[in-house]
Amino acid sequence: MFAQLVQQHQRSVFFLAMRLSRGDEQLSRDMVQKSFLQAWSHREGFRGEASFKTWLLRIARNLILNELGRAWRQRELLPDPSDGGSPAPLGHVEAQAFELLEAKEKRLMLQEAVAALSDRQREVAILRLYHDLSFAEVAEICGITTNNAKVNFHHAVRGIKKFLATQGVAA
Amino acid sequence: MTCPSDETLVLFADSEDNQPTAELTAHLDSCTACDERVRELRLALSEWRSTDLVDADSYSADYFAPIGADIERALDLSTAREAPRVVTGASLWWQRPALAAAVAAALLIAVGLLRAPPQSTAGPEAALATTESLEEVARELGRGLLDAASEDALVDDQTSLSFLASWNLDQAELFDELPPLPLTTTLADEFDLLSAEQVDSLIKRL
Repeated sequence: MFAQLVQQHQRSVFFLAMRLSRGDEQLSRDMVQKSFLQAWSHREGFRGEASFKTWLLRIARNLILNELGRAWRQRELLPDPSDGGSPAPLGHVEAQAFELLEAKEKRLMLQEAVAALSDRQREVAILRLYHDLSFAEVAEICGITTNNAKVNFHHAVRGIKKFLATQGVAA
Repeated sequence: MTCPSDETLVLFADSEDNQPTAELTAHLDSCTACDERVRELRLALSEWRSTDLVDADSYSADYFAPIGADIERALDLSTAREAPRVVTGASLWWQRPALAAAVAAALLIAVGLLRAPPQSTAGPEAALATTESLEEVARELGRGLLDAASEDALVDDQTSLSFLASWNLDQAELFDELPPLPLTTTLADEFDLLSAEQVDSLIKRL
């Protein structure tokens, strides 16, 4: 039974960790394991008020943010823009529409745009855009109200558009 | 209606299933700027959704198989640490679906055989079969099922002994101590759990 849940949801947890950590694969694998172990040890706390996926993602989100906070404090994760580790500046893209960019460029561009958001806006945007969750579910995972989730999503959308505009890309 | 807030337009553009108020719909029909803004937002959101922050397609099911296996292994260890497994016949076999099904199948078959002796279509040897021999057949069948169900070695001899003891109708007190079986199916359904070979073997023996 629990093994089935692992099979069913490990991708969601993994990709949530990947998106929030900007592609740290090892951390994401660790987070998958820790999330399920914690879900198992706290299974009696799951009362079915939310879906299992929402409950699990809330556990995962907390673990991931804790881990990222620790890692970032240790300067292990965020690449220094001056060391060439981050995507190249995209000012040269001029006014090309976002849709016309190559897939890889789009990804890099969006990664930058999302990274520029506040923590709350970033997690709300990621959960809403890439995890196919309702605002109520996003709110449940983030521990905020549904209205707060909507407001943060709105700011995230504006933030991403603004970032893309400053890069010379009309989204 | 004055132009709605940008937040309203973003949320409307984001949720295809979002039921707009009649007022908003009417406004969008008459306000080119807002209608254009919604169209633009929908395009942008659609683009962003289709441009994942990670290349998810490059992670196949094979990538996740060992992660899942690690979790299951860790869970076994975690469970062992959390509550050391004390294997007793009465505590383990009924908690495991495969074993419970095997025990239920064997129980039902035996009860059915004991209560409904073979009909005239059975051979002369079967017609002479005693209750003891039928019970013995059921015991062997149950033992086989238990062996098959306990291949992962989570069941020890104590469990088998407990199961076999439960077959001994003279030891009713032990049988009564066991938790109730989750018998939610019919004898015919339980028979379906048996392989064709097992059924053939049973018929031949009878």
